[in-house]
Amino acid sequence: MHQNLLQYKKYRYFKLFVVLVIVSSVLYLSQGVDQPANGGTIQGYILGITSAVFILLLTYLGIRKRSYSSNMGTVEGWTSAHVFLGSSLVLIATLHTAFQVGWNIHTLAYVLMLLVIFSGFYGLFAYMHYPRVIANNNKGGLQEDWLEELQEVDEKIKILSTSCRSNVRLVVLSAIENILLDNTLYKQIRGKDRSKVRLQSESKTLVSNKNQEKVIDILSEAIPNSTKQAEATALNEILSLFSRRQRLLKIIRRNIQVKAFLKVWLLFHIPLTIALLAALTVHILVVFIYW
Amino acid sequence: MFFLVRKSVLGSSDEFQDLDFDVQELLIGGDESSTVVLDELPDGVLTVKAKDESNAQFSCSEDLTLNSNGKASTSGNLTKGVLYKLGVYDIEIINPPTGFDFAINVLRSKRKAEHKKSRYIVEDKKSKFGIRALSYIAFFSILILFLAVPYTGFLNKDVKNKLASLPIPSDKSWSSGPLAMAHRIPEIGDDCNVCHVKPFEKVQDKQCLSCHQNLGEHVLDNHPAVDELDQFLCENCHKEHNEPLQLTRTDDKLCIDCHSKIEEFTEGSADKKDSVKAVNGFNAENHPPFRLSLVSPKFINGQYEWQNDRPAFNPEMPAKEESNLKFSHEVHLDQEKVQDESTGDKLVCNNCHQLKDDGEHFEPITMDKDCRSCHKLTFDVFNPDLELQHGDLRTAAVMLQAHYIREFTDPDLRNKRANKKIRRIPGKHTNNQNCEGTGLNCGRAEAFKEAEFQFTKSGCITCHEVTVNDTTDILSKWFVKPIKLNTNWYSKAQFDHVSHMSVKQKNEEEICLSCHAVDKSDVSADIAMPQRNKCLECHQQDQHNSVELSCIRCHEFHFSQ
Repeated sequence: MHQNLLQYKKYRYFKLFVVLVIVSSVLYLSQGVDQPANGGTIQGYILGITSAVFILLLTYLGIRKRSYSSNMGTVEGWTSAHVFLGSSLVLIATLHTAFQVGWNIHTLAYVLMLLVIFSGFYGLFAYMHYPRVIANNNKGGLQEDWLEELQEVDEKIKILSTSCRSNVRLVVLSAIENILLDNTLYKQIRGKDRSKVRLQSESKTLVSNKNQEKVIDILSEAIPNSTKQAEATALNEILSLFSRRQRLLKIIRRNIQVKAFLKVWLLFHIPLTIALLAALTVHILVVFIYW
Repeated sequence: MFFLVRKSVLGSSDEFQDLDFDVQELLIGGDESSTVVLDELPDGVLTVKAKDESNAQFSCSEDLTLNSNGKASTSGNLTKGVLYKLGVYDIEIINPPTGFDFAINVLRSKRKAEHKKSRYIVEDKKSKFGIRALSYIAFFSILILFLAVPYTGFLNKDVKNKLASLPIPSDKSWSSGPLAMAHRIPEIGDDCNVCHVKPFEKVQDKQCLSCHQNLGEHVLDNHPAVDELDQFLCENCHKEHNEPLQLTRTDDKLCIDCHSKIEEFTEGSADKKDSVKAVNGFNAENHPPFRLSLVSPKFINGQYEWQNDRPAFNPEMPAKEESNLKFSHEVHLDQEKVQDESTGDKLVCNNCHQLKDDGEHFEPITMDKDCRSCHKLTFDVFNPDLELQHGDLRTAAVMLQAHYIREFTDPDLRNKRANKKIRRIPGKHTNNQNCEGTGLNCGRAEAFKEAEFQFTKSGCITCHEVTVNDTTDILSKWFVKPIKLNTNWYSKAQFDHVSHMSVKQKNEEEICLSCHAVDKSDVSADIAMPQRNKCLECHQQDQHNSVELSCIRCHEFHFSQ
């Protein structure tokens, strides 16, 4: 039976998570005898040091689980540990703060840590959910195959278009030229089809060819008006190729969008982690500069 | 130099196209200017310079790289038998046919799409803020804004003042919590360096004491534990920037850490047997019996002095008060004998004992305030309103002499008194009406008699200890021992009378007597202070349903000066 990374080795890291939650809670509750719960009590120091070590360890784990050449443990194991240790940090670090927040570097470090962890939760969701979405979308193929086929379709259309009237040819070639696959993360996530087509040779304006509908409409209208048999045959073929193209572009765009979903959280998770490392360094230093 | 370039067609080992060139070096690239045009290559040129049949040097420009065994390089050697990847093409050295100096085979790689991917760019190569850039910016922004800038301000006051006007974080962003209420003044709140002087050093006592002057120490200067206590910082007990706002530690550990092994500290003490006993908490096992603070008279060098003492508790020999006062609580609390002057009711404790504002101690008992209303110092039955001076023996004696000399020398006064029949008052001396001799002598003799009566029978002697000597001088025959009433029986502890006066179902009188059982005390030497057991009735530590007392509820760390 397939185990996902949360169930890794019979919930090994989930069990560790439970132990950490219990131990840190007991540690927290043992405060209050000498002075109120605080980051500066013995228990507070233990919780704080644990949090700091975990943050460094998790950062290292983040690097480690992407370095596929290492033989130290499995990627799945490291990721499972990353998820559960990260989750336990929400509690351990909160107990270290003793629920004291303010406008200071200490709370900044804490908030950054929470942002890192919660962006990580999104990442976990993305990694567990989106690969299936991509697989369903691809229907057994690969993005490269779709792109390859798209190029072939384009080439075929280009060749076939030589048999067409010039104004139709212009529209067809412009429809091929003016598809743009989104290349910024923002556009990829929005996934808006911004395909365009030029309807007249002199015209500078391009009209929307969303979902290849405009060019398909024009081709449908052009077929009955064909004066030559060869042109009609070519237009028919071009029409069916554009239908295929429509389908291909849909798959490709969706793949791009979902891959962006998979990637976007890292744009937060990693810079926030690095920011957290800086804030953590400052937090630890200033606590002792102003001891 | 003759080069042969064989362009093979993918999937067919038979189909190929041979191209020959007579050039010094082979330029392979995507555009028409190259010797060998491979139109699916990205921008750049691969230059191949043959060394012999099997080896050549190569270098790449712009976007081109040559990959072999997973490694990409832009220059190096081409060796026969190794397959190199150039974009979508595979390149290898082959045996040159006759007439050629060098030959390579160029094979189109499997995936066709790769070469035209440039038309469909899906990677974001243009955005300036990639993950790496964002990370660097965030990392250095935090280090600069929250560490470098405030620390520079910490090192240099001028910089700090200049930075203060800018909307950037200062060292206040290092604060780990709000200041205690008393410290929220501009001098402290606006300048962390009032307390935090040296980096990586705990706040020193010097900083606290610069404001908090006249603070009592924990022990006297000659105490053997002074050295150990010197290592203690104010900061050990007083935690700033703490939440909830609590500046002072109140836990027993604070005290017990040292006091449970107090013998170690008091070893070598000049008065070892009298040293503080070990304490581990407040219950019968862990807290020693209370030691009374006594005040006793000492007659040193002809002077009366009062000495403070805290003798160890001895259940066999209860301590006695030596105040020189004669007083019976039992009598004063017996309605048959003493009643309230105005109401006729039984006397209650607070007729005399009035609590001070501190809630612990009582106003001192004084003759004028508490006794005189009943114990009037009258002496002349003809002048019942005339009272002797209290507290000044000489003045009282002089007053008596003046009074009686006048009585025996003023004929009008004598006649007036001779005609007046007075009733004899029990406990009062009745003046001699007849005297043979001069008015001066009679007056003096009468004054002496009255003084003798006051000092030995009724009057001063009622409340005071009086000594008598053999002289006949009214000014020096009697000596009234001074009185000092103890007002602080447990000088090393504090107690809140107010909170204890609310004990359920008891009137005020009963509450007082429940701890201070004076209703059966007939002499002032009795000390009616409750011992440890009385407190333990309600405050037994570690016992169920007991009001737990921490050490500092009763004991202050700083001795009052």
